[in-house]
Amino acid sequence: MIRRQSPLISEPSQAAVRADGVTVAYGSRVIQSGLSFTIQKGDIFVIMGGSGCGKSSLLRVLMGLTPPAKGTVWYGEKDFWGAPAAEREAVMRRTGVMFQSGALWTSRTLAENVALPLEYYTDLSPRDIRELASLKLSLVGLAGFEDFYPSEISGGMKKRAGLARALALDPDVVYFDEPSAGLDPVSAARLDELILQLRDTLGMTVVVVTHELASIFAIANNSVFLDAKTKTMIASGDPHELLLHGPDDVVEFLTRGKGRDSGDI
Amino acid sequence: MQASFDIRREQAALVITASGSWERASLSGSGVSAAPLMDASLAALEGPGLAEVRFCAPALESWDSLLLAAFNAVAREAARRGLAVDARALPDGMAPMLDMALAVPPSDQARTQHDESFLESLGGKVLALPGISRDVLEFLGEVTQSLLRFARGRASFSRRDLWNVFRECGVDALPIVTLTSLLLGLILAFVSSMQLKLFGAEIYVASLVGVSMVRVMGPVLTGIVLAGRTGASFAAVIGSMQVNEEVDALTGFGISPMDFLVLPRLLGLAVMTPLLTLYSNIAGIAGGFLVGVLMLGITPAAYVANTLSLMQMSYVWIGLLHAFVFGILIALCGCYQGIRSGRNASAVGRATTSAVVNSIVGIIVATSVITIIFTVVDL
Repeated sequence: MIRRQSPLISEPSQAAVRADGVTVAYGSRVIQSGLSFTIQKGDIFVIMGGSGCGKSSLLRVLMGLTPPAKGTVWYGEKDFWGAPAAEREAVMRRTGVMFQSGALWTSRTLAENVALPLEYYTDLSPRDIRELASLKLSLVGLAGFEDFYPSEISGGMKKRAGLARALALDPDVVYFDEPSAGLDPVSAARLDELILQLRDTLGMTVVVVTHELASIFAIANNSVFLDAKTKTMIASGDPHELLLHGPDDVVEFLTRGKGRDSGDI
Repeated sequence: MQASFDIRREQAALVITASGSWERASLSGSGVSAAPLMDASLAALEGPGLAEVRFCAPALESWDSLLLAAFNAVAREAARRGLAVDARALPDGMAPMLDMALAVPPSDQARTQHDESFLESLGGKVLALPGISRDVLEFLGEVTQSLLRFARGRASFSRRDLWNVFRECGVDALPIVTLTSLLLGLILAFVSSMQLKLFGAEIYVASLVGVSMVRVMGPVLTGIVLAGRTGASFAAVIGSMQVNEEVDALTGFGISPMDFLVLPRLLGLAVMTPLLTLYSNIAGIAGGFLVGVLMLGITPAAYVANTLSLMQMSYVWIGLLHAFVFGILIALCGCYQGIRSGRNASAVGRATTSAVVNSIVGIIVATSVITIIFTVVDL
């Protein structure tokens, strides 16, 4: 493992990431507004809601790809969107992202994909980097696939390779965009187990966008529910609690998975 | 039985009855469609004092989605006018399907498509200009910042991409540049000899080919070949990376796509275009040499001597300046289109086309500007 950087989040406040009145919009079309929630250190935090309610757009704001129309995101004591670009990049270095389709760099092998951030940010020798890349690939069950190109492996393997790459810099926060989309139930369950294990062993904070009920109940200990109709969050908290005491729409979503066939598909 | 329909008023209700065989198979070739039913029903809806629309089909033999589509269109229009719709009299299967289709009201965001008039599309393009100009300026600003970081040794970029660019517009481009330059030299020699023969001055074919290749034709030809080969591939590669979220993945690690993707391509082309141009000049002069020696009867020594006698070093530098500017133009057009490409297949196609078109227009405009400048300063 590479030298562990000093923790991004200052110890006394245990908040890893905090959304503060965030509004997500495409141009002038507001998708979600008034989003405020806190993700504690070590949480597995799920952003849930029906299709098209703006979950992935919110994720892009949290991880620094699109600026919010209003509000900001705090990483520990740092105002992420109020900070200059260079400081924002420094925070982004400490976060990892697993994109929905893996988003591996197609012109590089799996090992080179994992190695690239290390080459970019560390002074490690090529041999060290190679070994680190092998380790990260082994962690996600892809030992032996180091020299394969992304086009030569299956969709599920691409996702796991994407996770290995997200772990390259030993991030404090890892974002997952629809980790189980397009996976069979067994692979999806394995990925959930992997996320739990990684959180327990590496102490990461995990933020997951998903609408898979099985996933939500298997891994989440905190969540926020985005509603497409009212364009804001209508509930937050442990999904197991929400199932018992949450608003009707959320309970319906959690019991019937209704979010999948309502809304604007 | 033939498909038929009947529309009649019963007090405040409009009763639409369909009968016969309404399956598409029986309709095809018979020239019957659901349009008359729809048109007649919609026209009947205009009538005053209506409160209800009732569908029935007692003598319907067979039906499929076509008849249902017609009923659906009429029912939607009726609902929009606030009329009650009664589909209970329809046969089994039909009423529930109609209910299903009508259950969710049409989205208020539905778009009405209409063909733009010439003035409208012209106006739209003019209105888009300030936005595009701002975007281009922004891109140029980001590239400049990236170059500054590079100059201070703080931009790390993909060495592999730099080598790829070197290879792609170096070795890989040699065959096509050889062919086109050689042929261009041949053509220049042939065409000019026709005129020069009139004055018995065929020997000047040598210097004419030499000077025009070195000063302008070589760089322009190389530029156009590279615009088609390399500029297009820049736009396509970066555009596909956009589609596949690969650019986002870079940004997600705090790696600037400008440094990582644009910089190596820009530097690569700025270096390689002049080099390839030198090669193109030599190939073009060789083409002229072939015509001069084999067809015009000029001795090899005389051809070479005449070429050198009128050649100046400044011509070579001017040619290389052209090539340097073209290289930068091609790289900027290709990368701009790629980075700004939309996230779908057709957007990448458009980006690639625009990259080539913009590069070639840019090359011609830049050539004119440079030529005018050097004519004015008399070089």
